[in-house]
Amino acid sequence: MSKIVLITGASSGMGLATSKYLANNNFIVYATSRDISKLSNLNKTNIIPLSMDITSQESINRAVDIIYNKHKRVDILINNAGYGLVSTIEDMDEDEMLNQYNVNVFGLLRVCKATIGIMRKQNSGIIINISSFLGKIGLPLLTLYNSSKYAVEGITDSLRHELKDFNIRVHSILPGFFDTQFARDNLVTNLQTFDENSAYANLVSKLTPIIIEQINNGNDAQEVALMILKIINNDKFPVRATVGDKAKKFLPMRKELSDEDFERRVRQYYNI
Amino acid sequence: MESFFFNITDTSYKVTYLYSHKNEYIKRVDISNGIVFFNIFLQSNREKSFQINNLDRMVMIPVTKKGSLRLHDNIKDKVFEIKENTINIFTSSRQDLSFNISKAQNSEIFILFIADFVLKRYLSSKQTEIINFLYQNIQDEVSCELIDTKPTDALSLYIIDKILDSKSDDLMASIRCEHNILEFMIHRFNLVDMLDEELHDDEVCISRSAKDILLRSYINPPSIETLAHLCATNETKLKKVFKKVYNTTIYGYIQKLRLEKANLLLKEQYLNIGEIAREVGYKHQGHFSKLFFESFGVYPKDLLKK
Ligand SMILES: NC(=O)c1ccc[n+]([C@@H]2O[C@H](COP(=O)([O-])OP(=O)(O)OC[C@H]3O[C@@H](n4cnc5c(N)ncnc54)[C@H](OP(=O)(O)O)[C@@H]3O)[C@@H](O)[C@H]2O)c1
Repeated sequence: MSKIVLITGASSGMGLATSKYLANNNFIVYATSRDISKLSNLNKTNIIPLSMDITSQESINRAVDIIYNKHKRVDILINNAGYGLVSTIEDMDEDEMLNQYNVNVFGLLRVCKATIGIMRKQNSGIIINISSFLGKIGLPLLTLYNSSKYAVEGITDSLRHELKDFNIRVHSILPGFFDTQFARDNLVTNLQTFDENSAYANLVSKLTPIIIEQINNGNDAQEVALMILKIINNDKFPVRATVGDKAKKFLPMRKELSDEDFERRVRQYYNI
Repeated sequence: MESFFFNITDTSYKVTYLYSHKNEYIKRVDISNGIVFFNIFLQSNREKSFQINNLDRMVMIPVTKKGSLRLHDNIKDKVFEIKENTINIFTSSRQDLSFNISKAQNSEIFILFIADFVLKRYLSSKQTEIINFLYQNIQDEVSCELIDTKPTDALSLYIIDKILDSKSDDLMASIRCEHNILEFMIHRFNLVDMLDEELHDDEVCISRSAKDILLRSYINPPSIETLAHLCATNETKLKKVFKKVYNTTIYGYIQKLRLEKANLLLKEQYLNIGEIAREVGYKHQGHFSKLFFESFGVYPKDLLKK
């Protein structure tokens, strides 16, 4: 019997690549998006586009109900939807601040809330959170994005305990930079921070081109899809995985080096 | 984010050939994420070089068994000539280094790289210990600093052979190899004299001249009384200073010098054990062998066999 997958933010990038790959591997994939017209020309029998806005519990529940009514189960949840706010803390406004966490953190929790009950009753399930290697590094201008991914890391660690008795495993994937729509569509910038007279203008002009360049020359989203299948197929898979060759040394380094030494490397790497 | 270390993500004891042609090679072995060695064996009488350009805090120990190399620090534009038959301790915390192995009929070179976080596990509560000194040294900005250079000795080669002889498919390969590397580090670090910075001038002065005299005369050393006299001090003071500076008695120090000399003579392979014992001032070969074992953990005959 094919396993049922629910994945968020499936209209592009890692979400889209994963949906296709899992569909090809005999999973039934519910590919959710705020705008399913973007998924309309996929034409794959195993991918079912579903409208979902992760900032609304109602919208999430509606989508999950559709899946549950059809299959009476959800086997795998992949929390992938997310975007990045580029703003200094001094410049950010209230909405920018709330919205970043509303999507990357609360959105993820809402989808968990809607599906965990089903997984608990079926006594099995896998939750895979797409975090980021930035969920273990601090960077200027990305305080909100990075800390939202730190939060995802904490959610993974905590939920593992909370759900272990129900045979539900929880993992994080920490991608390095990947060439997706992320830098093109999903980096939201604060106008004041990017104003040429901003006190942070120097930092902005140094860091942002590097980040955008690294994302656009990043790895292929397909690698994330492969990693997700590996995690699904291996009961004993470690809590976290990094993907992307640049990120490979990352977790061991973060563990072994002192905070100060790690910071030194980050500064050199990003020229800050 | 690149690093010279952290090369092992899914295996331990990872062997990478940086160069290989017929029976020549430059082999990199990663024992763990913070311990790497290069095993270099060249015969073609051509220069070979490789670069290390990173942001790693590390101690590097090149050992030249045969052949020599030139180490170019590209940050400070400084050259270190590493001669044949030497063991050298370098430190670096940010490096752009070129290792150029000189033209030679035969080059056999071993280079050990140890990350600072490995040293950190073994720091002593005594700040003056060499391991603390090395660790502290690389917490600052150092592109490449030569800390110590000494002739190659028999025990070092013996331990290096053990390191090189281990294979990736040996039982417990990684821990065995790391064990041998730690043994090598202990032995080498032991040979570096560390002077406590808090010593008084007269203490430094007395210990230095006593050491100089003993270095010349340990085969047949003067009595403590004479030694004190030669150092312009008295016996009690001399003994006290010795204990404080070298952490041993005068007799213990003489013994250390004798055994270290014997260790170098064993490497030369010219003399047999009896001759070496007499050469460094012991009348009885058995007594010498026993002391050697107590100090180094192997018998001289084991080193001579190699
Ligand atoms: N690209 C990288 O270098 C990189 C590195 C590390 C981690 N990540 C993480 O990987 C995940 C996938 O990103 P990607 O690289 O594949 O980028 P992408 O191609 O831009 O896809 C991001 C997806 O997130 C959803 N999304 C964006 N803003 C949203 C919002 N305000 N509300 C709800 N959903 C929103 C979008 O879904 P819909 O438009 O379909 O609703 C979109 O499909 C994200 O969580 C991202 O943080 C990316």
